[in-house]
Amino acid sequence: MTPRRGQQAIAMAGWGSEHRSMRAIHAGLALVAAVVLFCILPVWWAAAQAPVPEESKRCLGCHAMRGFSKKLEDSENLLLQVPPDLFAKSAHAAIGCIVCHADVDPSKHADPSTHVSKPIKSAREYSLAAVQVCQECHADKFGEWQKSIHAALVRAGNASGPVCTSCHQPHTVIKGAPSTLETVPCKSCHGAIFTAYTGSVHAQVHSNGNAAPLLCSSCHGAHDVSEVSSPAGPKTACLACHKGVLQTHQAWLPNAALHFDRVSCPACHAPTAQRRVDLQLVDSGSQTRVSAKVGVPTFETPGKSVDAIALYNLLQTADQKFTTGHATLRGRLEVVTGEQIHQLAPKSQAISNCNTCHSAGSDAFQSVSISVAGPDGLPIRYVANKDVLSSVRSIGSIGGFYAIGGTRIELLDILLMLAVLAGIGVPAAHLLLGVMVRRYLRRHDTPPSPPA
Amino acid sequence: MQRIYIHPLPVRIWHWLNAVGFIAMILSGIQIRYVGLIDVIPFKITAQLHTWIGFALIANYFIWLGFYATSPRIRCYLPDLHLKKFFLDSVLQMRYYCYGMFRNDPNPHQVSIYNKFNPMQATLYQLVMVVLVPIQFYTGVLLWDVQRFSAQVNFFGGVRVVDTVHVLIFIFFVAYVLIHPYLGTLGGSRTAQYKSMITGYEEVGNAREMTASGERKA
Repeated sequence: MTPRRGQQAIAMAGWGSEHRSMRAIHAGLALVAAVVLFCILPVWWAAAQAPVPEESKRCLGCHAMRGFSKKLEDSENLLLQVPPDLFAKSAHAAIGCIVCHADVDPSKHADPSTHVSKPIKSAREYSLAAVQVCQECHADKFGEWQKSIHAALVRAGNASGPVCTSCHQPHTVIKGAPSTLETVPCKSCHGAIFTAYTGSVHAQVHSNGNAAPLLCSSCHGAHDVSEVSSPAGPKTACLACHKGVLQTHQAWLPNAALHFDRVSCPACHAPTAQRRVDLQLVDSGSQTRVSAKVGVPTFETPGKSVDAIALYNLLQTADQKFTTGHATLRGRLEVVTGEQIHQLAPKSQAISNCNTCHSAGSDAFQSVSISVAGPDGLPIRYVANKDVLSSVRSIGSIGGFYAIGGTRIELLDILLMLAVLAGIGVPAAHLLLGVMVRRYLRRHDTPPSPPA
Repeated sequence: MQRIYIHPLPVRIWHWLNAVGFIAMILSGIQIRYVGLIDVIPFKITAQLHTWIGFALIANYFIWLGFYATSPRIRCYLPDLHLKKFFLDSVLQMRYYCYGMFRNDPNPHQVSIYNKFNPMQATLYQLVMVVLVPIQFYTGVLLWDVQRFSAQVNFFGGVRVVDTVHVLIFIFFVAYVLIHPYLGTLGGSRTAQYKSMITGYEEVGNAREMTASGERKA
């Protein structure tokens, strides 16, 4: 063996042993990975399946029965069935039944001889009570909900006011917010609006993978839903996505900032919608809407339309009774119905012709309402005579709302005609006077003096 | 007859620019206010024109103001504080316009460089130039950008109040624009005052003195 071959042999022998070592290491790593996966996967799978605690399985022994229900005091049936497979997949499975249903004694509940039937007046009462249970874990969401119009409805005793269980089925709720239009709970109450929305440009553009779905909560919030016509309402949501639109409007729209303040976005961007002027009664001191006190009529004849004189009297009354500052009317052009508000069209179809509103007899100013905040936060609207927008008596009442050409004060038209008549009449009268004076002078043989 | 240089060039420039500008503003204002009933020019174009001409007139006003603020001729725009004399002179002037001029009586007012307006003219022009025109400009600027000037607009009671003031003064100027050209024909001849407003010179005669009661002095 030559030295070179010997060196090669030694090198190959070394490489061989090194190769064997690497193979051993690779095998060891593969074994470890397999063990880890073998251990983790079941755990992960089990976690995904949220294994139900043993005591909860005992509850499901009865409460999984199809049709299991309880008759309530108002004769309504409260469904007590909990689908076990859906519960197992829910976000609440791991915490079990007793955490939420802490008023139940598991040792006595299942035994008919020791079971104490809790009287429940109605499903609504039960749902209202459940809110306190949800609050214990979901304090942050509860706090947001408390500030919402939904909570205001509940506090006002509205039987349809949404509580937690109105939107979230506690036994089947999964973690995370709804991610598609098909899963939003809002449509259960706002079905017509939801249907209108699905045909809008927002739903069309934000679907089919073009962009993230634009859901109800994207504009209205989820738990902190505010009243839609409030000053900090959806317009701030529009502007949160559509940044810089004021500048783009200023390129072609005179007084763009004023339009943004007094005209709702859908009034132009839902071109087929019916529009109206809503005169919001506002306390100029606190800049908040005047609220109607429960049981105290704001208007003497709520059923009749309010004319300019009644409007003036209303402001005087509001000044005395309801406001800390000065009662003013903040006018706003808006769309009449919720369904039409959500029928937003592509930008190319938006109203851009000034004459749509700024013209005599414009449809936009044929419908006028006066609104105050109701006890539950929802606006109470009263029909106003459309002539309030063009009455001279409204100069002081509706000082803050005026649309050129659409809401002109008709008395001023009469003054203009008088001015034109005076402009023609004064010269004509003076010319006639000259003729008459000269004729008089000639008749009385008093010729005019020669010019100086 | 004397030829007196009554209307300096800046005044004449200002006057005729004002005349054209105010007529344009009145016509565009009518189109803006009565859009839908009158549709000669599209609303948006008219609003733009109204804005541009308005700012041009504001600049033109400062030509007038700049000239008179630096000239002793400003005396013709200062109110006469001798109220009794002013009242009697006004009565004389009115009598002249209603009767005396048809008898070719001499004009009781003698035009001079520092007193080129008769009492009635002085009253009207002071009202127009010192009160009405500035208010019209001010309300027009507020309406041009209501949101930017919202604090001032709200101070006056809101945009409806500001617009009503603007329209009321517009109504006055409609009558003014019709009557003023006719009054301009009441000089020595039908065209005398028009010529003086173009050339700057006015022919003035020796007016016979008259007593306050209207009798001619010997």
